Amino acid sequence: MTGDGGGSGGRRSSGRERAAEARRRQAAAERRKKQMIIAGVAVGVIVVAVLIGISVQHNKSTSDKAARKAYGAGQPFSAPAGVSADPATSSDPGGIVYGKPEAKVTVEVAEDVRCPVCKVAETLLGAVNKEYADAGKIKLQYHIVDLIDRAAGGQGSLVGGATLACSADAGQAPFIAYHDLIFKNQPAETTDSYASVDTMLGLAGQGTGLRSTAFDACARDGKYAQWVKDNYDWLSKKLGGQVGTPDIAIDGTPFVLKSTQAVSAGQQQADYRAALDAAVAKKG
Amino acid sequence: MASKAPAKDVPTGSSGLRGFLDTNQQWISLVMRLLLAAMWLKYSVGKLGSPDQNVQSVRNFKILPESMVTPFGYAQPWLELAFGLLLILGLGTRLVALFSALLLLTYIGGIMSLGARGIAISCGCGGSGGMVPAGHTRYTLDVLRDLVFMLPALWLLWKPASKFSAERALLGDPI
Repeated sequence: MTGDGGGSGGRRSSGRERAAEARRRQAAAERRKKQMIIAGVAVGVIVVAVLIGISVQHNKSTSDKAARKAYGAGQPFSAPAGVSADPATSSDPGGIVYGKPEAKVTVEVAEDVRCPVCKVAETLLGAVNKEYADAGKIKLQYHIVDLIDRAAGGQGSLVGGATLACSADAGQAPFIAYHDLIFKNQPAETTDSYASVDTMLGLAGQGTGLRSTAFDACARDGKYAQWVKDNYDWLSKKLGGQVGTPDIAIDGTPFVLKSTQAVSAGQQQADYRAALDAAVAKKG
Repeated sequence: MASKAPAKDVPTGSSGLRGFLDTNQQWISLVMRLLLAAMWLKYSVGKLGSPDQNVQSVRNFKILPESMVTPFGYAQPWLELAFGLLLILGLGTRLVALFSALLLLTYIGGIMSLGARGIAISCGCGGSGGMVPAGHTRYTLDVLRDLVFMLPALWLLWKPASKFSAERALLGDPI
């Protein structure tokens, strides 16, 4: 250790040292003060950002909800033609039926036209469903819900779903054709293009034969918007508040899709066929 | 002052990795600052446009009580935005690094607890948190990603002084 200042120990020298020490201390104190101010500013920025954030996000959420409310407002509840339940006498708003009335096995499909996993489900199981339904083995009941709108904002689930419901009034064949077209052309989850009635009508114009004055009016008025919302409530009740789509049940038994990375598409289709066959065999 | 013992910041005889880290510390800290800032901004921008979706993501974790879900869901992207901007400016770096590390730890803990409780959410943080069928999740990836971003946060907690930072300019240090 070398002594500071050469270790002369004189009075004058120690006085100068003390002055230098005081200056150093003052400089250090000032630096600390500045650092505290900088830290305070940083904390202030964070607090202000959080407060602004809460109010901005709240306003955005409110205007999203208002837009959802406007579609179909003033329309009394009504269900599309031929739904599975009588909404007047049951809490079930009913699912749109595809299949023959004599089919003994019921497959309930709850889906959202904006939901990407529903598109996966349709890609995997749509053809199997149609094959079994056309053969009279099962009848499908489609419950169309507006889950993504509620979770992500926007109104594509509601407008798209309610317009799909309009197609059921024209019969099973145009319904299923339009249904498949909607999932085939589904936009990315973050792109809410199904919120536009014109987009939905444009899709309906692609060879489904649906376009008519009645169909267009049904879509524009949001005639079945309440039916879609009620189906969400129905699904929420069925799943105990934990709403996820797609929700597929074969005679009440859930069929859960797995990741196509974990279980191949072919294997899942085989599993689904086996589950359907088992349900059909059980009903004799 | 000629007799002052060689201080740590004199890179005499320092070589190898340690020497490299010592001589370039401020540049490394700058890179770490910008890395962490980029992460927060990316996390934030993905959530800013869809408040309801983010609230739902927060709810899906089933950790916060319902009364806290909405405020946290609304505030979260703005908090991340503030972290990102402060890091880019280089203002309160050590403090923001500390908050960053804490928030990342919360995310990591949250995702790991999802895995432990068997709740299926497509993605932890920074993306959409919609419910997906079991098996569609990628928790390991999410945890790894957040762990990787712990590195710049911890580095900055240790060595906050960096090139081109507002705080050094304000303190009168060479920037």
